Amino acid sequence: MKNKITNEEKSITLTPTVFHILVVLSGGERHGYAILREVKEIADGKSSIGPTTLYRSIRTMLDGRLIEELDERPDPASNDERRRYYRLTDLGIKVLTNEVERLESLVKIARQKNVLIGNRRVAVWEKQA
Amino acid sequence: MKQSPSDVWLNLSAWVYKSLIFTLPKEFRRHYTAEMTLVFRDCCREAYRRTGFYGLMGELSSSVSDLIVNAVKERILILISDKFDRSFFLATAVSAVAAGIFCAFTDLRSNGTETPLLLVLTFSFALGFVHPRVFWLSGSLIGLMMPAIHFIAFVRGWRVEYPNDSSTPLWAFLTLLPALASSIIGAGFRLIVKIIWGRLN
Repeated sequence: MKNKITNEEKSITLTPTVFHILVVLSGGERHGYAILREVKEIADGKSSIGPTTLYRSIRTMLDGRLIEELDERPDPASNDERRRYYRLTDLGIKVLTNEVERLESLVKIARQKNVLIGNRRVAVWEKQA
Repeated sequence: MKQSPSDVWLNLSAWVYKSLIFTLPKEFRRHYTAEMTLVFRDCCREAYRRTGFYGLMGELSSSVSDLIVNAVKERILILISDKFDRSFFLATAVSAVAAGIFCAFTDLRSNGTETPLLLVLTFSFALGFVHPRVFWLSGSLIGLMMPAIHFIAFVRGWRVEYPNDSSTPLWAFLTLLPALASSIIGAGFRLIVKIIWGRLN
């Protein structure tokens, strides 16, 4: 079933950081440091975010109701009391799914045009020149 | 209990980072300071474990630059948002420019630097005290008016009480230091007065 996105939902800006956080949280609830660590792993060193970028993005996502803060900590015995845990909301799942589908269709088109083959890119440039 | 060298560096880095968090808006600090510091400590601990002291310094520098860049973005967002009181901001800016121009003209007409400097210190302190939230604005504007007026005086060839060459406007930029320092002291003094007043009542 295709997920329809309303105009209100369209107004939420999906920056690369927000998208990465959504992907991380699709694996379940996480606290700030766990999110940061996993985002760094996903980005594979190509981009890194600091604590301020992380919490600015989290605030944006909380405002946009893409994620929510958990009232209870999943494992109170082994964690610092100051840690807050976050998880995706239904809207967050919907927005993430739509974004992944959009990217998937873009990659499909790119594959059809052989953009992903390095030589092809050079050939296109040479043709343009 | 004696701290290990790693603990000392970790605590020092956390202290530096936490001290710089004040650059973020109050609302943001209120919600996220504790968690951000915690995440920063975790990142530092991991960096130290992996690559030692240099890794820790790398983490500190990248986190601090991330903090400063985001603080600037947040401040700009507040400036352009509807929540921001533009009339208050404008009143401070106009007062600071007027005070700065007055100080600069006093400097142009006097031989010594004592009187203009005293005026700069007084106005910066007063505006910092009256509008502590934007002390940086009043201090910067008062400080910048001095080189601006000196530059105009040099270009237009105004008669002044001392040799006015091309280096004078550049030297006048030094006024920024006492102006900013005085406005910070003014804002700090206001804070102290507020705390004492709160305790007395």
